[in-house]
Amino acid sequence: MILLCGIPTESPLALVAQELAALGHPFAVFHQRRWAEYGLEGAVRDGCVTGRLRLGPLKVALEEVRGVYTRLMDDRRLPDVEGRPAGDPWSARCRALHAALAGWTEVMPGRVVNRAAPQGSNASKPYQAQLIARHGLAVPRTLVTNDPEAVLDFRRRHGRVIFKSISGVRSIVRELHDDDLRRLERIRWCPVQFQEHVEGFDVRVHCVGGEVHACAVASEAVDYRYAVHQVGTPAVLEPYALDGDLATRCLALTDALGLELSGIDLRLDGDGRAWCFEVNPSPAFSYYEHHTGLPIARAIARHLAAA
Amino acid sequence: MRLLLHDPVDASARWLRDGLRARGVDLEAVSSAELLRARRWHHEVGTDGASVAIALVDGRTIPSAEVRGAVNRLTAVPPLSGPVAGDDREYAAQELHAFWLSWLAALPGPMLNRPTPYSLCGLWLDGAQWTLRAARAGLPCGPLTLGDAAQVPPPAAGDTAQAPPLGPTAWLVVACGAVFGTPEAAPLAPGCTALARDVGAELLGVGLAPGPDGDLRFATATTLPDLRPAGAPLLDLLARRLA
Repeated sequence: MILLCGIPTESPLALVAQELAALGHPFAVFHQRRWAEYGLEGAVRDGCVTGRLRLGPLKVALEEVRGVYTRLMDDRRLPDVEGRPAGDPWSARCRALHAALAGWTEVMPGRVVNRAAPQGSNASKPYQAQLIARHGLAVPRTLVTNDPEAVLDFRRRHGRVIFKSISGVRSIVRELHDDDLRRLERIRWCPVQFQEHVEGFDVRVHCVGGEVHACAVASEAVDYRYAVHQVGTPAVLEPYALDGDLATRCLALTDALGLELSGIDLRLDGDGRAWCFEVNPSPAFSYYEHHTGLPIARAIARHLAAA
Repeated sequence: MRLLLHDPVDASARWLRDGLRARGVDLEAVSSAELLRARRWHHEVGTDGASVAIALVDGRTIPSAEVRGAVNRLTAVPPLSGPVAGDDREYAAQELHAFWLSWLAALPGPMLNRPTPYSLCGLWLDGAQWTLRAARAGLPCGPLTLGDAAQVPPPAAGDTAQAPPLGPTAWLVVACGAVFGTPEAAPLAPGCTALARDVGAELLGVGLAPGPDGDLRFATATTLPDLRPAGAPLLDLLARRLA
């Protein structure tokens, strides 16, 4: 049995469900909007996890679940929970269920795409960059500082410089222009991340179950996800054949970070060097699959079914 | 230079500071409040490695090139002061946590304990995860309920199998592979060191409680243990580890 967790109409979850159905593999869905109809009762005893998950009328023995694909949203943002006062019993029950589910997915012996612990590195980009560099991929020179003079010096050294959030929140990449320097003093309140701009073209790599699915992204935008907003035209995506060594390094990096599925953001420069910006542990791969036809959902479904 | 990084209220940190300095360790003690108010931060990351330089308001400077080791007892970034309000305050808190995780990871030398994404002073696990890891490490464990509280009925009177784990009545401290603590828990020492190794913690506190048969078994664990009961032998060991 495979368990899919999230909102079933969300594209990545819907695509994986479709592929599991095509494989004829049994699966159940934890429909997050219906959390109030659900319950989880389990125990850790003698190093084993036992119990059951109640999904409305359906009861699933935890021991029978061999794989989990999770795309859960922040349960505090669910429509029937958000805005309720602190201590509200409805919200507390929702939180307790999600905490139990999260706790179980961290300790269940099957395959979880992805567990929460290894996803954590993505919550700090410079922290993750240190891990990436240790595993054989180049990372752009990055400065985090609250010192405006240090930023000006960094810009003198590197020419074009971008800035972006340190955490995964409000993660939009922007170039540092002369106009921005007028408000540089504001960084004294909270350090900001600046990064050298790397010339080249973007390649998005999805790794799952030993498979590598890569696509090239052509765009003039600093952040191609916001290409329409930044340059007025959408990015163009097409499948890309990654060379064997780079594919191997992407798989090794995914494994080293403890991930079953990764979305790796690379930029290949004029010398053919691969620069890694980020490893996304919960990639919205459907955007890339829709534009390129890469069979990423099928690879995820096969990986889960093989658990 | 060796660092002792700690929260403002941490009796173990004060005890460590005095004990390690008395043993000749060149130790700079820096609190999270002092770090939050730092005059200047400069943290660089690249393919060739990472560095950090901190200038504190009291004039002290901490360049990572001069750091030879650290005891890290930081639990969280204190709330940000200054002209930040509303959603920006939550955003700033997440940015600061992400930043502190990164500069801590950039410090060279032995660090007790290394930061992890969910906890600045080492791995953070919930009860079920600790219990499972402890069982795998060979420690005796009681049953642990894993469920949403609203769905799980309270235990019946006298039903010890359903009872939640008792609070710890004894603690062992694992430090750099050595175990300090109460003599009656000595048989559990190998399991405790295996657990510390499994979670990558050089400093781990393991809480023990008697089971229905009276024998001690695993109750909980923390990467931020009270170190004081371990006394002078622990200080001697940490002074050697940071030398």
